[in-house]
Formats: sequence, C-alpha cells, structure tokens
Amino acid sequence: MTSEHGILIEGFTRRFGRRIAVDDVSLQVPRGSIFGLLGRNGAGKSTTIRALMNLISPSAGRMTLLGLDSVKDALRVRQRVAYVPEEPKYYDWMTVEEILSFNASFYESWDADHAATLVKRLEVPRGRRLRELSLGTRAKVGLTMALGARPELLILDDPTSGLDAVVRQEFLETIIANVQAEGGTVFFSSHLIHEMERVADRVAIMDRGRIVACAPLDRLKAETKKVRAVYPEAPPDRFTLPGLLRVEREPHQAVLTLSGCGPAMMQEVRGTGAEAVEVLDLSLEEIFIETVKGGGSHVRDND
Amino acid sequence: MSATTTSPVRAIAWKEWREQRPVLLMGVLLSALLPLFLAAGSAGVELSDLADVQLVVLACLVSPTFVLATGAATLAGEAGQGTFDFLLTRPVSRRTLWLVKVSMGAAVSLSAVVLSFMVALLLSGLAGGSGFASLSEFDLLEKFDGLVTGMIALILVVVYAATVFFSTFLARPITAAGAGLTASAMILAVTFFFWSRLDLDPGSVVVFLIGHLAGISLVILAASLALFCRPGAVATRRGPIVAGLAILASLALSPVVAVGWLTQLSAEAAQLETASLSPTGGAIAVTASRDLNSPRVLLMRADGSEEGQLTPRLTMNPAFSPDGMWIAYVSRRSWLGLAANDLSLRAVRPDGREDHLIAEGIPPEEYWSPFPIISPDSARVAVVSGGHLIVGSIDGPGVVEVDLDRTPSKGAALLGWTQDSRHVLMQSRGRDGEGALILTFDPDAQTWRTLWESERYFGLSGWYDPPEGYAMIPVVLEKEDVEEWDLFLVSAKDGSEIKIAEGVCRGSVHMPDPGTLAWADCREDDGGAQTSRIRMRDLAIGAERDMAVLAGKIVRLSVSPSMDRAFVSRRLAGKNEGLTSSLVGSGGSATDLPDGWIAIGWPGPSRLLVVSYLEDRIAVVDAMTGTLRPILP
Repeated sequence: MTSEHGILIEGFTRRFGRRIAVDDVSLQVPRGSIFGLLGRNGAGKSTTIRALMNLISPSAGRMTLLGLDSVKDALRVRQRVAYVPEEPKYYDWMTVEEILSFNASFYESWDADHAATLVKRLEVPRGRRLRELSLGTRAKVGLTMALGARPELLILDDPTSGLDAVVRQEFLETIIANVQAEGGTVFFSSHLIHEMERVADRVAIMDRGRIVACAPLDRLKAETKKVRAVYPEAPPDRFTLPGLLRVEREPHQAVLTLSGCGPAMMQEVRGTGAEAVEVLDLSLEEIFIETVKGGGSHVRDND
Repeated sequence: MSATTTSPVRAIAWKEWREQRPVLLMGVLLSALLPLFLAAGSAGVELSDLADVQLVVLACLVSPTFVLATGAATLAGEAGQGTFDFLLTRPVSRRTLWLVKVSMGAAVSLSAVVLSFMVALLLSGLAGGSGFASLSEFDLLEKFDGLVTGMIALILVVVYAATVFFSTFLARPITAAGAGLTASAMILAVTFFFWSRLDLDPGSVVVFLIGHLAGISLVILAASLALFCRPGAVATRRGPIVAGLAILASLALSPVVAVGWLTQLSAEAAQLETASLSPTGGAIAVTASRDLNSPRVLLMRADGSEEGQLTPRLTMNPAFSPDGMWIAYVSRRSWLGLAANDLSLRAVRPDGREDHLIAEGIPPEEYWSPFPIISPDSARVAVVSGGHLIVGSIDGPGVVEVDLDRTPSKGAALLGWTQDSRHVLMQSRGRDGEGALILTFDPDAQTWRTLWESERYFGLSGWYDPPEGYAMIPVVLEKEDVEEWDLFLVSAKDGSEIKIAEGVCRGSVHMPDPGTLAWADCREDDGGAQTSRIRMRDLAIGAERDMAVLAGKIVRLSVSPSMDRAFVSRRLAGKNEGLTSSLVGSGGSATDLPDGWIAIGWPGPSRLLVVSYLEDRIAVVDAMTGTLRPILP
C-alpha cells in the first residue's frame, strides 16, 4: 500500500483514567520529510509516539503509518518502521554483536553490511557488553539497530536527550545521511530546539495534549513574528487581531507576537492606531516559547 | 548466533534461555547442597533417609520456587528491566512473543525440577550405601506414586500459570511471584475445598483433577495472553489486578458448576454395605460407597425403586426408628465436608428433612464404624464407639456420654434397649476378662446395674436385626472343655435366667419378635455328618416346635414375621468356601439359593431382603417361590 503520508493522525485522543494526555490531535507527516514534534515535558509527545508504535492504544482517533493502520497492521508497520525511544533499554548482558544479531533476526530487510558500516563509522565496540558502554555509545547501538533494518519511516522519541553535543551532532547527521538519502521519512520529538531547527523541514508544536502549531519550518518562521507597535499615547486595552499569540504592553508601545504574519496583518496592526510598526524575526526557540506562553497558535499546515 | 540466519522465534527462545538458565544452575546446586544442610541439622538420622527427606523438600518447597522464579521472570522480568518497549517494537506478533516466552519459561521450570530431582535421586542412590548400583534399584514410584507425582505436577502448573498471569502486568518479578503464589494458593485451597464438598466419584477424581487444574491453568494463561496482546497492558496496575482477581475467583468457583453431576451417588455405581429395613418393610436405607472413603446413605423402596441419596458423603450405618419417623446414622464428616477425627450421631426424616445433630465428638473405632440402636419408643438413640456410650434424644438436644473405662462396663458392646425403653443393655466379658456380663444403664439417672453374670464363656453374637426391645435376652454360653453352646434366656427385668437348649449352633439365634425365639440345634453323628434342627419357642407359653432339619451347620438364621418361613446360611461339610443360602418352609422343605446371601429382614411375610457379602448386592427373595431377584445394583 502506498500513501503520500508517512504518518497520518486523525483525531487521536488518549486518556489515562480521567486525565486527558492527548486531546484530538491530527497531524500529517509527508513522506520524505523530517518532521519535528516540539513540546515541553508532559505535552503528550511520547504518548503520541507510543500510540504510533502500538505500545498503547488510542482512546479515540486513528493513526496510519505508511498507509498502514497503527493497530490493525501493527506487525507490518514494525517491519517498515524503526523506533528509537527516549531512554532505550537493552539487554545489558548481551554484547553489541549479540544484540545486533538478535535484532537482525526480526527484519527481512536487515542489511548486515549497512549495519557493519554504521558500527564502524560510529565507532561502536562490537565485542563489548552493553552494560559496559556509555550512554552515547548505547544510543549509537540503538541507532544502528534502527537504521540497519533500512526503515522507510524512522520514529525517534527525544533520541538525543542526555547525550553530549558531539554525539548529538553525530547522531543527527547519521540519521539525515541514511534516511533522507533513500527518501525515507523521519518523525522525531525533541525538546532540544536548536537541533530540530537544524534538521527538521516541518515542525509541530504540542502543548498540554494539543497541537498548537504545525507548518513547514520556513513558513512557521516566516509567519510568526514579533511586531513592535508604537503609539502616541497608551496602546489599546484590547487587541482583536487574528493570529495574535501574546501582547506585552509598555507606556507607549505594545509588542505583539503574531502568527500568520503578512502585509495584511501589518495593515491591521496599523489600524489599531500605531504610529510606527517594526517587525522582528523569531528563532524557532522563540516561536516555541511565545506559542506555548501564549496558549496556542494558529499556524496550520493545510498543504 | 549469527546475524539474519535466525528466525524471530529462535532468537527470542535463545534470549529466554540465556536469561533463565541460572535457574537450572540453582536447581542443581540446591539439590546437591540440600543433603548437607539437612545432615547438619539432623544428627543421628540415616543418610539414606535424609535423601528421601530431600526429595520431599524438593517437591514441596524447591520446585515451586523454580516455577515461581521462571514464571515471574517470563514477562515481569522484561518489564522490570525496561526492555519490553524494545521487544514489542520489533516486527514480531505479541502472541508469538508470549508463546515463546511462556513456553521457554515452562521448559526451563520443568528442566530445573527434573534436573534437581535427578540430582536428588543420584544422591539418594549414593547415600543408600551401594553407590551408583543402588540407583538401578531405585524406584521413583515407591517414593512418589503416580497420583502424588501427577498432583505435584498439576499444582506446579497452576503456580506457573498464576505467576505468568500476574507477571503480565506487574513490573517487578518479586511482586509477580508473590501475587502468583498467593493466587495459586487461593485457587488450590478453594478448589480442594470444593472437591471435598462435591463428593466426587473416586474413579473420576483423577480425570477431574487433571481436567480441572489443567483447565484452570489454561484459562489463566489464555487470560494472560489476551491481556498481553492488548497494547498498554504491560506493567500497568489497577485494572488488570481487579480483573485478575475476578478471573481467579470465578475460576476457583468453577468446579461447582462443572462437576455437580458427579456428586450424586447411585446404587449402580456403589458398593453396598449395611442396610436397615423400615418397620413397615416398605423402605430400605443402605450404606453405599464408591470406596471405603466415601460412604453415604441411600434410601429406596424395598423393591429398589425410587432410589435417592439421603445423606452426604462420609455418613453411614442407618437405623430406622421403630415408628418409622426417623433414620439415625453415624457421620465422620466435618463442617468442611472433609473427614473429621471424631464421629457424630445424627438423625434425619426419611424424606430428607430435619437432618440434625444428636451428638458430636464421639471417639471413633479403629477398624469399624458403630451402629446406632433406637429405643422401642423411638425417643432415644444409643451408640457405642471408642470406649464411650452415647445416648441422645432422637429429635435433638439431651445427650448423655459415658466413658466406659470408668464404669463396670469397661470394654462392653451395645446390645440394645429394654422393652420399656428405659435402659440400655450392654454385654461384655466378665470382670477379669473371663465369663460373661450383661449390664443395664439408666440414661436418666446415669446409673449402672449388673443384670446378669456368668463364669462361662460368652458366645452371643451381634444381631443383624435386633428386636425392638428385649424382655428376654438370648445368650449362648460355651460348655466347659467342649466346643458346644447352650442357649439361655436372661430376663431384662431382674436378670433371672432360663436354660432353653443345649448344643445350639452358635450365631443361629434369632428373635423374629420379642415374644418368639428361634434357634438351631447342631448335631454331629458318629460318622461326623452335621445336621441343624431349626426350633422355635413361644416365650409367653413356653411351647416349642421344630421347623426343619437341614444338613450342615447353620451360622445365621432369620425367621419370617409369620413364623412359617426361614432363611438360613449354613456351612456344608466338604465345602470350604462360602455359605450355602437356603429358604426353608414350615414343612421342612429347603430351596437352595446362590451362595453368599445373608438376610437383612422381612419387608412382608412372604418377602425377604438379602445382601450378598460376596457380590455387594441386595436382592429380594420371594419366600413362596424361592425366587431371588437382585434389586441393587
């Protein structure tokens, strides 16, 4: 089955007792994209990813990966999708060689030469037991197991958490080099925004179980701006601008964080009585903070 | 293991083996070290005996430990070390994963148990003194018969299944092991409780045990599989625990439904023992059992129809009251339905209502169960057991219990009641173990009286159907230096005796009613041929008459209520095995019946109920035609 979407999530909701961890989330991850899911701790990123891997079942909604249903076709999904969790736990008593061999037994698509190349490139000691390895080296083993299966979709749940900067960079470069070169899709969550900004081409921001922003990274950055509006007297008490995320008032000016920012929006800002308007660019980290602090965004990917 | 050449099943099996193999090592080590521990704490005990003890310890303690360890590690071990996500995101179905893990756990458990037993056997053989040679003579079945071994195996299966079940959703193996042990103990306790209540046919018990415990284990394992296949069930808590407990509770109750039909005993499937005929002769109460451990009372019409189970398992020796309103019986059933250490005396209406306790805590006899005897007025019942006389009111409270060792009647047996229902009659050897003694006991005043005493050896045998009450008590006494017996009648009122006859056949005395005495005189001619003459005496007027003369020696005699028929069991010369049963008419005619039948009583003037001690059957004899018709089974 072919699908234009690497991942398609429709109305996914997950409750734990009375608590709603993820509330009516819908997402489209195009094939071949590197899709970053940003969010604070507890935003619902891991819950969404665990549901994608059928480790938990959805309370409502539907998820497909590569056109396959995450629940009904779970086995076929796992043949084509590799997953690296946030804190991977492996059998500590196994050697690297053993766990690679063990992992290889599950995949028809396992590429032993590719895995060997990765091991060599990442400088993973094959004969050592996993319990003897550093956190970074264990992460490399996990990545080798994921990539050795030549997955069409790679899902990573905050994979570089706890790794030093050098390993993080090596890790991300390896992913990009391996998956994108073959037209694969990468879906990863992270709270390390700089790294996501460096590799992701599409981004979704998740907050308190909801998607509050979702768009290609370039568009998100192009449309989410800070606007400094200068007023002859005090700024208005109330702004009714579409896409307004946050307002910071000062005696003669207001700093507005706006999504969907364009010439029309500038006109609307001027219409509030502003004498001068200055547009300020935002980094992804700033967009994330403003979006989360503002309680929601409306930059939506309608591609 | 080389990459990509192994199937997922083999890969998982390999991993499980690597993780669980320490259990095997533990099994061998424990088996090897146990004798040392045991010997250290058991000075003076033979080493060969210690080896046997070791087997028992292995069976009872160490084997379940292996099973708990592997069962808990199977799934909870994976959750505990946090590796489940890794495994569950590999392209292998949860069902396959579960099956391989649980199978490997079972295989390792079994191997550990077998290996540890083998080591124990080896040590046992060595400890026997002949080294390895003694091993060839070592009989496992001698130490653990098939049933016990099977039972232990089934219990281990239940323990394993329960542990795997809790291991499915508990994250810590130690918690899973504790929960599994508790749950399996509950299952086994409840199951055994129901087994004992359900009175299973012993022939079906083994099949039922296997079916029930294996069934429970399979259902528990299926529940574990179903739970495991549900995403998110692994290492969660509340819901599955409640569900698990509910499942286990319902499983434990399952035998009630499953084997209800097995509980009712029918005469067809029973061995029939003692019987009591109702006063009208219309009904018969029989002790029936599937084996010696499961007697109960069946009640039916005297023709064998309308049969039904009157009392539950572990009850026996029914006795109709003379008014036909009650059936007294003896029970060795505890409130749990299990065999009790003590006996109790109970009574029930013939329709099964008002089953109630008369007396409890009665010490049992070692080899036989006592027979209750009801007074002629049907008000009280007496029984002697374990050196105690118990007299109770048939309809409930008011029990008198006497320790016979502290009375003149030490070692006495119950004879019956006096005709006025005021005294219990007891018979025993004389004061120094010589001679004969008949005593009376007044249950109201709780006083003893020596009614009659003789220096001669007492030859009175117990009655199969004693009269409702004695005015005159027949006794047979042995002549000095001659193996011949004289028949006397002793007055139950004042102990005066009347000599009735000499040379009677011992055991042939019968009182078809309190006013009539029947017996057989035994004679042997010069050629050694024996004959028995059946005689009857009207005790009111003293008139005697002959009924018949038969060849052989009569050992049991039963005369019909109309006094014109008799049923005899006699030993014929030259015939060593079995008694010849015959129906005798007043004209002296005798019709022989098949061997081995003994009279129970006469349901009517022309019908006789007989029981075969050879075939465990009950039959009705038509006294007019001599036809024997088996009615049970």
